[in-house]
Amino acid sequence: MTWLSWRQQRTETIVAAALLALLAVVFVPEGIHIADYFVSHHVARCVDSQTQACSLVIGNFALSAGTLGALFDSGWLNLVPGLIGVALAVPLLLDLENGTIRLAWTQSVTRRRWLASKLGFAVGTVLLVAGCLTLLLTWYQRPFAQVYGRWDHFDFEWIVPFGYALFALGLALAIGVLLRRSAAALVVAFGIYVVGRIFVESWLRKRFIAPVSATLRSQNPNLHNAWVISEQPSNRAGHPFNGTPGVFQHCAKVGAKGFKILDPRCMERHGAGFTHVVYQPASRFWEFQGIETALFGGVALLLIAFAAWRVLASD
Amino acid sequence: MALIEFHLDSRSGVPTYLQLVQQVRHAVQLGILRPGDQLPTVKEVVTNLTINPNTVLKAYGALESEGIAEGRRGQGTFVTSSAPSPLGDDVVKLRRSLRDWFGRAREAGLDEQAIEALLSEQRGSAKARRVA
Amino acid sequence: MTAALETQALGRRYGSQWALQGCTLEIPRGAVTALVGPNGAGKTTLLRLAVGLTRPSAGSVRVFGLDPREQAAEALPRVGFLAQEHPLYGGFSIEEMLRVGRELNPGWDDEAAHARIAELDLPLEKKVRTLSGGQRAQVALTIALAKRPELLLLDEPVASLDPLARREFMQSILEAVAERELTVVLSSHILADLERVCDHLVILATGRTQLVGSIDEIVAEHRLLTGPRDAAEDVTRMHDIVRESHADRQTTLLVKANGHIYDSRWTVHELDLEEIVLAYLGQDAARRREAVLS
Repeated sequence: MTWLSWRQQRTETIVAAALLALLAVVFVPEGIHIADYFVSHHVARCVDSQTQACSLVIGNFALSAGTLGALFDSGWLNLVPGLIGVALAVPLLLDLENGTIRLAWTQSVTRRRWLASKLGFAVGTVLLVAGCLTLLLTWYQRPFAQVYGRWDHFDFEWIVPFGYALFALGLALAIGVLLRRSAAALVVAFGIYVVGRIFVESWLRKRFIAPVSATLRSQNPNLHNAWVISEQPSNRAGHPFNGTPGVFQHCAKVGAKGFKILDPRCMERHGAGFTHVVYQPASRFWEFQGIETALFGGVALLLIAFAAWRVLASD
Repeated sequence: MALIEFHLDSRSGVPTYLQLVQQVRHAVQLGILRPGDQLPTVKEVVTNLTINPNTVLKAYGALESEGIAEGRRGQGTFVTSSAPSPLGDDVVKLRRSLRDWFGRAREAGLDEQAIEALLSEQRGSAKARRVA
Repeated sequence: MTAALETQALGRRYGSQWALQGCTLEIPRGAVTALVGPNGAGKTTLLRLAVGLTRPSAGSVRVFGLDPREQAAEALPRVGFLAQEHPLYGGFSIEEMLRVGRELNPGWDDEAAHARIAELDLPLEKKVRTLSGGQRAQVALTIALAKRPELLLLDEPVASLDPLARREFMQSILEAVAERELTVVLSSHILADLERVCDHLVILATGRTQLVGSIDEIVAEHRLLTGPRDAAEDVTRMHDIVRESHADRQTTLLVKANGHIYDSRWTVHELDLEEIVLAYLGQDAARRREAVLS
């Protein structure tokens, strides 16, 4: 039974592995280069510093990422877990569409055993490939995570890719058993995957845990790699400043070192001088990873269970 | 290699198993099959004719009850020693006169169908005579 | 001895349509049974119910006394099934298909399977999708037979084959029957060669069994009677009329006789199997036409 399950998904596994290999070929040399740069230019020392010299170092470091960095930032890589999940659903869907499932079910194994083996292989392969993907990408962006915090590329770190890939697999299986037309099912499933990901990333994620609100005196507060949801000039009580910047003309004065600065007490009188921040602290990163993985993974398991139930009960 | 090969006439109206029985009987009468000879195995007949094995078993069963053949467990079906012996000289003479008759019939201008009609007629009345 | 296949008032419904209803039959072990009927008669449904691919909506089905669905683990190794399209994994080679059989069947006879493929002169590395229709059918049959089933169910196995492939296919099945006690049920809408190959018959039409029995008995029981029109009633009272037609002065009746026909007014003819089957199928068609028109 194991040989058959493997053999039936051989092509899809190779495709997924090839995709991963392609990514590795692209990201590994770059990643090594970036890691070297990080060490040789002592970027680590400048991470929490506010000096101008350090801003330059950080700026140059950001540039060293090149076009790959732009690819990373663009979010296109988010499609990869979706492709992996959807691809590994294909063997079972083809079995249903071609009627070859009737061959398997009229041998000597029970439906349950056959399905358990096939699903086990699909899920296992998805997890394996997703694991390699997350290892690759987490490693690649380690230096960036140190500078800008982990939140920036939340989607490509640690455990969430497992959830994403399983989600895509579950969608493809569930829709496939309903539609009975593999090609259409894959397209629909991928579409729902994209919509679901966008929904969570742009709306739901920030609401996993109620964010922290704080009003800080500094104009440019250092939030220690937190995920800033909103940042606004405000008054002491935290109410947003709703005037124009021109109003501070007369608050300018010459400061201790000879530079022009804005008098804080004057600013306060005009309802400004503070910054109101809504954010998720860096310490919550792991909780959020857990919640998002559980969310996508849990939905995935439900979808897979549904697909399994439909297949077993089919006539 | 089987000693004889059966053939079927699907249009004769005679049940398959009976055709097999008749062919064995004829083979024995003509001396082609002798006591102790093995009849084709069920599998050989099935491969040759693509017929139901049960039909072959039925035919061999009928031969057994007629005393012409006997089945030996694990070995096959064999012509018995008590099978009617070939008609010997009579058969040779009959054969020759039949050959002559065919020759004369053709000379007289009879075609295959006319010969067949003659034979059926005679065969039928011979059967009737036997029953009566 | 439990029958190879037994059904009791078996029925299967799809929505409001009954594909099969009230089917009660018993197929003895060792029989080669033809399941005949027009398309849509319920043949495929009956075979699928027998192997557990479908669940009954009414009644029951048993193979060797086992429920093919609820007791699948025990029943499946004993039942072979060949679906009409001869499903095989297209991208697999013949060798890989045999491996599938080996992996999925504990009772698999690998030597016999390879021997058959060699006999068929098929190279083991050949991909299944490059095989001709007849070759596919033979490979699928090899797999069905190599698990050594006691009951083999075939759904229109030769419908898509040319005459030579058909002959070779049937030859392979009958050889297997000759080698060991194998019960075969094969559905077909082609009537030729039935009498040659099969010894039992089930006629299905519009989801119902019209006739079930051994072919010898069926041929012995059915007679064609020709006689005067006014004598028809006497026959009707004693025997089952399958088909009747009336000319001005003469009536022709095809009957299933309950006992010998002594009435000297009738000329009695024997029938061959094909005529009997056609009569039953025609009777059903006529009934359906009446139902539509009334």
